[in-house]
Amino acid sequence: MDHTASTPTELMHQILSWIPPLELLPLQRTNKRFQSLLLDPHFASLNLRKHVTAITLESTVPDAMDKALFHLPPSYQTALAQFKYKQVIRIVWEAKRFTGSLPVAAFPQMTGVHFLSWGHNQFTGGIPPELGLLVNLRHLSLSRSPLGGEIPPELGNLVNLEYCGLNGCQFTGRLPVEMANMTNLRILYLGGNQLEGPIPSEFGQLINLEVFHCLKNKFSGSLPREVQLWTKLREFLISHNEFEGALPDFTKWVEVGRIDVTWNRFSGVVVDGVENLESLECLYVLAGNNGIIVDGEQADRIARAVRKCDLTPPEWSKGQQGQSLIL
Amino acid sequence: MVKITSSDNQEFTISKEIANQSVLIKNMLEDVGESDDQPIPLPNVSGAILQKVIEYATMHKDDPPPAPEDETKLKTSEDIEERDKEFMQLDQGTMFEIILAANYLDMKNLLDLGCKTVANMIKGKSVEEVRKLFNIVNDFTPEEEEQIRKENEWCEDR
Repeated sequence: MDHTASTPTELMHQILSWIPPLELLPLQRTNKRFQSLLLDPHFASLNLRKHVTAITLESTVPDAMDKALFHLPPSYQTALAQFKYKQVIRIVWEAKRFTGSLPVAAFPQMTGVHFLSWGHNQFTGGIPPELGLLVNLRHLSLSRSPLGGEIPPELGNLVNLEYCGLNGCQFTGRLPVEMANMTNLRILYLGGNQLEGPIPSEFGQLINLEVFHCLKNKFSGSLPREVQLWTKLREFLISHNEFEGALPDFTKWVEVGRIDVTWNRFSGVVVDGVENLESLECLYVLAGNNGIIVDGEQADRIARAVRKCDLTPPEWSKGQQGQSLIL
Repeated sequence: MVKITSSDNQEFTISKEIANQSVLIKNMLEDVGESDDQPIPLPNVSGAILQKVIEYATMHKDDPPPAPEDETKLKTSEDIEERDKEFMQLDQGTMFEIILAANYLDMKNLLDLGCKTVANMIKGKSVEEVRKLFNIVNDFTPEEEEQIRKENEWCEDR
């Protein structure tokens, strides 16, 4: 006789709650009753309450439960976040070989997090809109995982974000206009995805941008004139896309150090005065952009002022080297 | 002294301190008042099980009152006292009936003991072993079972 079958749900829950979650979840396979007992939304918190404790402030050394977060059923994600991450401000789980997908059901309980660094893992799936609930985030890194899909408009709710690393994934589609609301953004890494379409003109509002990398995507269209409002810009790396039209007026970026717009379809001239940009160390413009016209005298002037530059033939080879150091 | 009767009409006379370990009986006694010597009917518990429950309550009648529960502390099923382990050396049917009775009588310690004991029987066992332990019939199709196994692969080979 199967005594588990005749024991009421509430009592089976009490029995099973004593078994550690990672040992317990595989028992879903026992029979349909066990499966429904374990996946009952109320059970996850009964179970986790006994087996996890809250961590405060920071998590940098993930344990088996942290690793499990990306695989757990939604009820467990919610309960785990509730019991474990509610008071956490910094989560740094970089290069931990984590697999699974971003924990949609945990995000509503993690709104206190300021610093979320989950780069260099093996996450799959996409960015869920719920990530936009983490409105206190200052730093977000999801770089270098096989994450894909489109960047959800809700990301634009992260108005406190200063660092956004989405490079080296497999994101597709266009940049959501809503990202222009992230006006505290200083660093934006988008390189090495399959993003397409133009940079929305609304991005001109990102006046605190210091670093903008979107190289190696499929971006197209003209650069909006508004990028010239990025007066704090230090790095502008947009090579290997399909941008076309005129180059922006680089002289508006008075602090800029590195510019690489090579391997696009730009045409026209380089605005005069670039040689007066004091911080400019690297300027890569010509390679791959067949429509750019630089007269010899301007090229000489710039080449004398800018240490690495592809405007004159002798420096061209250095320019090629420069490509490789860019991420 | 307090009189209680089981579902099969066995009558037990127990001391008040033993009776009070059941929150259900304690509340009943408070409701009906001290002077009433009518036996309290417990229609959900058989005489055999009630006998075991009284044995447990007698064993624990001198226990200090429980410390307030610390919510932040991890809980484990491994902290069972020796005398309780011995008490729970029972056949499965009785074990589950004691859990049911402890829940009905509202005896938290006994309920926890029963639940922990069954949990400890499950711990460390494979799905197949758990099925065998309780005579559980696998009502999944092979395809369904394979699907669930795949979904949980991540924690099986952790």
